This record gives sequence, C-alpha cells and structure tokens, in this order.
Amino acid sequence: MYYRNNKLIIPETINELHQTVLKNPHYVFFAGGTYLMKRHSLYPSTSSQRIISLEMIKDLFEVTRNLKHVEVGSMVTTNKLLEIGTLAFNNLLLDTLSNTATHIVRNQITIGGALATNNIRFSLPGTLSCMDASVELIDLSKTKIISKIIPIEKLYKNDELLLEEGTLIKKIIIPLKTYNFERFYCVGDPIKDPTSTVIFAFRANINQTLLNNIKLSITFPTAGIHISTVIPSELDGVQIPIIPKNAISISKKLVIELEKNMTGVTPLQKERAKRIIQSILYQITPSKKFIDKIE
Amino acid sequence: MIKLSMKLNKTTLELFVDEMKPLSQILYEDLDIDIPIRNCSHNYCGNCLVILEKEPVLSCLVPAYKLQGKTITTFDSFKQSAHYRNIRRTYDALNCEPCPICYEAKTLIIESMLLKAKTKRIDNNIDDLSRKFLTKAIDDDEKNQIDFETAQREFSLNSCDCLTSKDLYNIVTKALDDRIKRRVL
Repeated sequence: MYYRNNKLIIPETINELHQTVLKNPHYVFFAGGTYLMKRHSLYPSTSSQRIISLEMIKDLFEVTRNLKHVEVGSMVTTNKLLEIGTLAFNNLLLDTLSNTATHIVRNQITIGGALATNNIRFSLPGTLSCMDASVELIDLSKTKIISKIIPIEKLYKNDELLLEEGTLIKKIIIPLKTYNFERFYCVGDPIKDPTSTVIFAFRANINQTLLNNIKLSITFPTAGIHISTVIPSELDGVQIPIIPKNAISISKKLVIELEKNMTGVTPLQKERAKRIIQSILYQITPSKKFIDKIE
Repeated sequence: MIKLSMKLNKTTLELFVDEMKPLSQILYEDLDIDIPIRNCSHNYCGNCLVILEKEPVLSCLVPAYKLQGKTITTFDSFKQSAHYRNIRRTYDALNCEPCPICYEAKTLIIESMLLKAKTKRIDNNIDDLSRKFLTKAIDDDEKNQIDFETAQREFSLNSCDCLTSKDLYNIVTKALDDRIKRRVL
C-alpha cells in the first residue's frame, strides 16, 4: 500500500521512496519520531514540507549476520537491537543501548534516527565509531540510486551532520570483534542537560602487560564527537601498571587536545572528561592489593 | 488532514485530524480528555503516558497517522483492570504513593516494568512436577529482571521527584511479588 495525501507519504519499497524523493523537493524523513516530534516546527506546520514515513519499507528492518559483522537496517529500534544482540554484541554496545533513554522511549528510537539527528549527538554514534562500525548510505537525489559505505565518524564534523539532502542511512554494519577492556560512561543527562553531559566509549586489548588496539571516542551532545588521537598514541604498547603520575599527565594531554580540536565544550565537560579518563587508566592498572596478591 | 479511526478505551472513534498532530494533543483538544501536558514544553516530562496496543508510550511522541486502527487505553480505563488493582494494593501496603501530578505516569511506568518482567508463561500441557519447577524458575527469573539501577533509569522518564528511587524500587518489587503470588496475567 502506497499511501499519500497532501503532507504525508508512506512508500513501501526503496524504489517508491526514490521516486517520492525525486518528485518532492521539500521533505523530511520520519523514522521513530522521538527527535522530530519534539521539534515545534512539525505541528502545527504552515510550511509545504512533506513528511516521508519510512515505517513500511521492509528493507530497512532487516538484520543479517555473518562471522565478521552484523548488518542492521536503519529502522530497527534500539530495544529490538538490544534483544537480538544480547548474545552477539560486545558489552560496550550493550551498555550503550541499555543506557539510552528508558525502555518506553527505546521502543520508538530507531538506530538510523539516532545517528541522523541534526543538532545533537547521543551516545550511539560515539560507541559505534569506537567499534569501527560503518554505514551504508543510499543517495536518492540522482536518477539512479547510488550506494556507498563509509565509517560512522565520517558522518560528522564536530557538531555538524554531514549527511547530504536526499541521502538515507540504509543499514549499519557492526563488527563482531570484542576487546578485553571495554568501558562506557554517560555522565549527565544528554536530553535534559546537554551542555554538561559527557559520553565516553573506550576499548583496548590488554595482552599480558601490554596495551594495544586502543580507541577512545568522547561525545559532547552539543559540541559533537571527538575521536582521540592522543590517548591511543600515549597508551599504545605501554606497559601496565601505569603509574598515577603518568595517568595524570595523560589526562591533561587529553584536555589540551579537546581545547585544540573542539569548540563549545564547557569547563565542566572538560573536567568530567579528565576525571573519567583518569578513572579508566586506574581501572587498567591493577590495584596495589591486586599486585601484592600476584607477587 | 486524515480520517483517523481508532479505539479509545473500548470505544471506536472516527475523527479528522492533522497527520502529525501528537496523540497527547488529540486527547486533550479533540477528545477533551484531561492529560497533564500543559507544562511539558517538549522536554520529556513523562506525564503524558498512555497504553498503545498494550505497550505504554509517551503520547507526545506518537503522531496521528500512526494511530490508524490502533487501540489506546488511557489511565482512566486502566484503573478498572486487575493490573491497576495490583499496583494500588502495593501502594496501600507500603503506605507510599506518587503525588497527584505524576500519579498516572508513575503508575504506568511501574506497569510497563511489570509487563516487561512478566513475559514468560507456562504451557498448560505439562505435568504437575515440571510445572512446579518451571514456575519457580520463571518466578526467580522475573524477579531478577528488575534491579535497582534499571528501576532508577526507568523512573528517570518522569521528572517529578516526589518519591525516592528506593521507594519506587520497593513498590515495583512488591507489586511483582504480589502479581506472581496472585497469578495476575
């Protein structure tokens, strides 16, 4: 059933969606609605903007899995992903999903929608970029549908979403690789208090006393996502335990990196970022009691 | 505008509304149902919860076009169910209940948590001994599904802080015990 009236269009296939996009110059894609329904401009609306609902396109609900990765359609809800991913995904993603809003709201939040919010970043993009996930985009603005796969971090530049008009996230490709040290922290409430919230996703492999495969993404809801280059370069190949003096110096370097690369990060967010990275470094370092026990 | 046909509290309704009009505003403006949305200002206050197809939802996040042919239950109708009586009994037993402003929302959040926990049921065609063991295993499993942190996060949906997290957690666990004991399905 292809439903349309003056304002709302509900296509059933990607081809119908493509034709709809070509025919209508002003439109907005409507997925779960948790972000868009909050915008005052949507209702009552006097603009000629059409609403294209994606809820009937079956291709966007598919979930497939092979040995290396899971491909998740962009209209899959976070609760659904949490249910199907319990045995497959690593703890970093499961923690992120279960910490996203509440059960009632998660029933409505779609994965694609969570990645494509315009002015605010929530926890999912940061975690997925920390896991080296990528997205398949389809460009519907040309006469032929063009598909391309890009890493998630390329979707954003600081607080900006680089998704061009007419481009849709079709699926998200999540690698199934796990790491033996994964941490997710969300300090603050990204919806009610975005300017003081800091979201951390950190992963590393600890091989005996060596650290490698390190990646850290820090999300500031209003300022954007930052993939740290300082932390991997400082910690890669480092012997643990990390002495407290080094931990403090590394955390200070992270703050300098944030000051250089990010605009709009508040002093409270910087302080929180500093403390969280210190906490992570102390967790990597076994406590004195633990070292004594080994000796 | 669309012609919307839906079932509200067991009554079939037909009305013309804008496609993107939120359910909360349809209830308040078109159907004159008192739903506390006035102080929300699109900030997830969590007071406008209703039950849509047996699942609690924030009515401010559901546009009209998604309601076509759906069943909506407001708190007034939910009050007549056995599930509500179970939660009410718990409030009375613990002598602790939410304030009048968030009473409906918090009760529906509790209901959503209890519904999430009570997902497994036992097949009738099994022998008594197996039933006994399975019942105990499922009851334990259901109790384990609600931990303090989960409860705290779920209640963060409602911004009213009339009750502490611990009080709310006690209400949920007691209501779940009561529901298991009385076999409220």
